[in-house]
Amino acid sequence: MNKTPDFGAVHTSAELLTIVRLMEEGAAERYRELAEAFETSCNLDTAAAFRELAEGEDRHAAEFPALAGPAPRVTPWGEEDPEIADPDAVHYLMHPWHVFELALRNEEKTLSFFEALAVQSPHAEVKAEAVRLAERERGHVDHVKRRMAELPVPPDDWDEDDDPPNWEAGD
Amino acid sequence: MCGSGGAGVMTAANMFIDAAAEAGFYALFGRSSGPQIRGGEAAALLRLGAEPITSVDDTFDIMLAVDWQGVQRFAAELPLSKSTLIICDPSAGDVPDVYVKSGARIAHLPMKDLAKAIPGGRPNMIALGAVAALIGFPVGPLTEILGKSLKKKRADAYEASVAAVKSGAEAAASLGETKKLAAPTAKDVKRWTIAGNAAAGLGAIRGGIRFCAAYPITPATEVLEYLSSALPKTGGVFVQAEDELASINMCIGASYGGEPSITATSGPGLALMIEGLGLSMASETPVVVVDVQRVGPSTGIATKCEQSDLNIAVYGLHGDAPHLVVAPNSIGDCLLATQWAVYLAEALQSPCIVLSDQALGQSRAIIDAPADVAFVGKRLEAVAPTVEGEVFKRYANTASGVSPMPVPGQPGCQYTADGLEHTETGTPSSQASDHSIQLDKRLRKLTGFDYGNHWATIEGEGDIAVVTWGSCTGAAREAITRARADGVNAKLISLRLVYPTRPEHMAEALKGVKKILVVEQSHLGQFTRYLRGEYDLPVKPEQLSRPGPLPMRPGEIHTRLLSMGK
Amino acid sequence: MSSCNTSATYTAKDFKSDVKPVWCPGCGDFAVLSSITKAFADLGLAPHETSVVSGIGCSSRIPAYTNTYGFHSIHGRALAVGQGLKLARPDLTVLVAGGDGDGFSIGGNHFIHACRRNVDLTYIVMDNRVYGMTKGQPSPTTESDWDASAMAPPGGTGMTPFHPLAIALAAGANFIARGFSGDPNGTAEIIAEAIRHPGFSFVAIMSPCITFREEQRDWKNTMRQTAIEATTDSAQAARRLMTDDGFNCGVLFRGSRNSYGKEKKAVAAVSDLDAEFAL
Repeated sequence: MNKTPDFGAVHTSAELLTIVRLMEEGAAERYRELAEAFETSCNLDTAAAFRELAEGEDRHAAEFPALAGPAPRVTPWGEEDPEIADPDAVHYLMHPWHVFELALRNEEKTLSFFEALAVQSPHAEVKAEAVRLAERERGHVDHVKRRMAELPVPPDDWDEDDDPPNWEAGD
Repeated sequence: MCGSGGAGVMTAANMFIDAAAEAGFYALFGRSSGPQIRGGEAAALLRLGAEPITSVDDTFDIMLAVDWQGVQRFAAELPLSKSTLIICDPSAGDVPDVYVKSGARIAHLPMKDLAKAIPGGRPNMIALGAVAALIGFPVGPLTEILGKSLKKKRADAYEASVAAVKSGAEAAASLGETKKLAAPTAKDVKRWTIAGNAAAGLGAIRGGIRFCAAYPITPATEVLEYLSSALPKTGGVFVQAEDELASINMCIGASYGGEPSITATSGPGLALMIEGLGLSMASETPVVVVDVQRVGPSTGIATKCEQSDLNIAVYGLHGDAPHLVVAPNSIGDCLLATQWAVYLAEALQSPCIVLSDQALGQSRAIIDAPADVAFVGKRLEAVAPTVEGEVFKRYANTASGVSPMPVPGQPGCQYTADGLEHTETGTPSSQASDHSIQLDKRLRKLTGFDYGNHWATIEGEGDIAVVTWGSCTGAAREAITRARADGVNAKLISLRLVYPTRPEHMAEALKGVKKILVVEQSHLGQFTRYLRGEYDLPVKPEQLSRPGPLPMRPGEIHTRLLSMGK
Repeated sequence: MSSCNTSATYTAKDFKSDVKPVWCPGCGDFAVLSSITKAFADLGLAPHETSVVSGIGCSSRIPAYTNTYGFHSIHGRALAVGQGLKLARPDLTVLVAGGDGDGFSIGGNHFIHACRRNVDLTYIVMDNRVYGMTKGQPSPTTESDWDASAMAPPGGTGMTPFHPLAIALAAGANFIARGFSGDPNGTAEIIAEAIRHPGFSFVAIMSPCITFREEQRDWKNTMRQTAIEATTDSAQAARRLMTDDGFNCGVLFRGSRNSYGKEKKAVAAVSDLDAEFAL
């Protein structure tokens, strides 16, 4: 898709914090959905990795003030919220290592956005908040990198399946 | 009365029925026509009497031909005898051999010439006057009907018709003798004039139907014509769909929304609806389908009657799919049986096929007013779960097999109806236990229901039972009456509930019966096979059956009863 | 960028059921489910006054995954069921959903006539140009040269792909849009507008099948937000659609036809009907 970021869209620090909380909640929700999808397709290690990420995002969301009143529908990032995983960026045989690799991409995208916002926002208050958020995001990136390092790197043939696709309830 | 396009025999016959209604008679009016949309040959087949008439007779007393264009095509449907009087116009040429061979008397009535002598006169009105005079039909009601149908439009047409009827009546004196109509006895019964197809439509609305989606097809179209005007008046909806697949599925959607729904069709359309009926059955979404049977297979003979959709109606669904099949056995019963079908479908959350037929559907009759019965469709209402987080069980495995069914809009009872096998909550399941539970539940609700004595029409007592259904019932009834006069007693069992079967009731009805005669209109003997397959009959039944388009007539059943009674 | 406030009492989550999708991990349909539930919530609808009707196929499993009233019907007939429901119950919000095989092949005739009839409902087709549930056969929207299927002849079917949006326009649909599962927020906005728009609203959502059409993962690089405003002129819409490369997302046509059907109103009692037949 071809939407471009709109760095002027967020006017205040409070507004920025609210949408970041919503993004973290959205990211948690997506990771939970992916965890469920992997549970359904019997890849439980990967499902557990997604659950771990979902719980992490829940904690991140809780660090921000809870939403009071209707949610603002401002999307300064132009496209989808950077931290929310593409639902199609997965493979049914993927390993937990891939899960954290996917999360790393999302965290890095979010970090880049905050760094750019800190420079390009026309509002001083937003700039200052973006600097703090970028610092916080660096912590998330480091954490995901550490988790990746703890996990075995998948073999080259990780996506091979001798069986053809099969359906429990083809209809 | 027969003639080719423009002869106006149908108009004359309809006026005759209206006049007969006015005069207190009973009547049955069937029709036969060629395949042409306009200008084809047509025959109006009338039977009049002072007592209710439920069957065609063996032969006609009078055959009036305005002309002979293509009329020999109907020969098999127009049985004549030596006592028949053929009245024809000498200018129309010779009487076709096939009619001469019957030995019937032939009389000439110059209908065209007599009509010409009257400004605006028409041959069909000459014919009407002649036939009325021949059978001793009162002139008063005839003139009254002419007034009702013509006066408002054109006074000169009315006067011309009255003059033509009078001219025909005067000319009748020289035509010869024929059977006279007995005068009607004054009765304290209300009478109606109605055709089976309209009766089915009215029965549907009485039963609670408020939605119909349908695709036109002969000979069911009149059901739809009736509903398309009557449904909107009663707050309902009628939709002409793009095909029968859409019809049945629109009905299922509307029914899911809480509106009792119906569609009407004939064999080819029913074939297309079968998958939808399976969905209705498995998702337990009630729907009623009126199948006005015509001659099959495939496109068959669209305008004529046959009782050959029994197999597809009962056994046509894939999977183990018990459902309701109901058959009206008279024109008036088209109303009651369809109303009952709506009641059953709604109560049992099941598809119900109403197996009417062309002879019932497209025949117009003067009958005693059908009873106003209390059958109105009602579903088992749902109650939302009170425990937080509990999911509503749409397909709850109840003792009766009927599960509470919410109407969309009801909070807390949201569910997904599904044709996939499912759990009690409606979640798709491929587990043996869920399949077994739902199969049992769907069967139990049908077999455990109290259908009362409506499952069959049972009349009389005797060593012989005539088991029949649909439009053959009238002929069987008349044959039984004649046989009784000859000292042979037979009992009539006409099945209204074709499916599910009623084994105990049938055993009771057949208690003491020594011989069984099955009467049906099917080449394969579908009804006989059904009876032998589904019921433990005390004796092997004899079979009297014939495919359409020729109807079963009382005489042949009477003859068989006499030989069985020896 | 867009901003609007709603006073919804239900959230998107309230529109999801506890039943877990059988879709492959990575299937585009997960995002479409999210977009639909988000649109419902954004419109302030209530689950019990909303219904989702489908046919058969991977995407047609969707009603069970929502907490609305739903009907998982038979292959190709979802639009018939949905139209019947809406005509019987004009007070309900009716959304019909399914796949490209269900909607355009076995259900093609209903699609055309639903566009013509213009009943006030929204039809969502999750288009992945393949039959997923039966393991990867070419569908009506499959490229003519695609042959990575056990049932497709070498070199592909050679059949011109069905053009759902152009056909919808020609048949009379009142609202035509394309969405992409990779843009769930944008797609949710399109669905919400489709539901609000009177008459038959058609939303084709490109939703990759990552199992049988893995190359569709690349759609996220090729799909784009359309740069042009939706037109109300069907001739202009026809020109656009016939020159469209299939990658433009957004609302493409907004018609102004009146919805099918009259207000239901009883003017007679059932017993009044007897008069026509009584002597």
